[in-house]
Amino acid sequence: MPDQKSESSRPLISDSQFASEDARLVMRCRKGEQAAWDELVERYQRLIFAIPRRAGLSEDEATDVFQEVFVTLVQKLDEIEQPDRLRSWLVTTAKFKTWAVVRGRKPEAEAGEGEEHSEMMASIADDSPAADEMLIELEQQHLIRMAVAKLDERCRKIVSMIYLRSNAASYAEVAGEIGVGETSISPLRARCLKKLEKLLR
Amino acid sequence: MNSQERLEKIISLMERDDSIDAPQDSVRWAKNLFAVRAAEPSTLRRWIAVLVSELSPGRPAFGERSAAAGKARQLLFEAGNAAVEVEITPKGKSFEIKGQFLGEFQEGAVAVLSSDGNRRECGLSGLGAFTFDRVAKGSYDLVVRTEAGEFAVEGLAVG
Repeated sequence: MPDQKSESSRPLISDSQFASEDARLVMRCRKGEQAAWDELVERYQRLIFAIPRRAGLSEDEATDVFQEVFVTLVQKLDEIEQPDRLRSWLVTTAKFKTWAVVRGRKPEAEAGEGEEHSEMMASIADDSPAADEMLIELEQQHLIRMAVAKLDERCRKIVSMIYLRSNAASYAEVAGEIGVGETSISPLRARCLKKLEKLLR
Repeated sequence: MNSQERLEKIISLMERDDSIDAPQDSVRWAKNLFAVRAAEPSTLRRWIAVLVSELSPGRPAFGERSAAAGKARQLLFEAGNAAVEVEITPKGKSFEIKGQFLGEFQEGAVAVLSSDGNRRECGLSGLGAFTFDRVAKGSYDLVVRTEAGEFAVEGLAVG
């Protein structure tokens, strides 16, 4: 019989695997590895850009926020005390800088700089465009994209074409892309989703 | 929440995901930021390596036991409690820089920085070895970074 308690108390998405990868990337960056930095930028560029965009900023404003977040990160790389919490650090920084734009003034403190910063962050109203619920959803979507990237190529294509495109592909299109019969797509899709769900446990 | 419910929520999140990639030029810009960091003074302890030995091509390699008298120019630098061996070998119109960091380390990386700001880097092997191929003639700073700090060979003339 399944353990009902542990099943029900399990978070929707576990990020422990991705958090460990983040920590390793930060450590490699600290040693000066450009390749690690490139991977880190690729890993987070979409999430960081999405935060100001979802908050209603223009593309130019979102680009400014995006650049400021990475400038702050490169300056603070050696000071981040919990590299495995990099994602939270980046999201908080992006949120803060987004609000600095929304409020029309420069930020008075950088992410992770003690009580003053914490109070500033806490003062952001729950009904703000960058409210916590929205950020949680963006983070969950980010983790799902990372998990999709870890699927084998066929599953990655199936899941991406059906669920991660603005216009979902038909089974016929997916079948044509991966070179199987259309009737195979439904069971393949189910298996791939199962693999995805396991990756996110 | 059982697996099926989790899966339905995951699907719902994917279907609502309307995020797009950041502009490619911004992504490139962000990646280039790291070179600026590397060029800034490091907060790590830094040793400037001193040249203690240089063997020109045609001379025996390090140590009298070596019978090799290849085309490589071989240099030995010392810094703190460590040393860096460097071999510079012409390869066609460019050069290969091979070397070995001789010191204690768990993990490390090496960067070569040209005088015009270009930067290339690689990790140290378990034995501290590193290789850069297709290096153009010029003057370079070669910096080995480990947990203990930076070991810098400044103004390494290639070619």
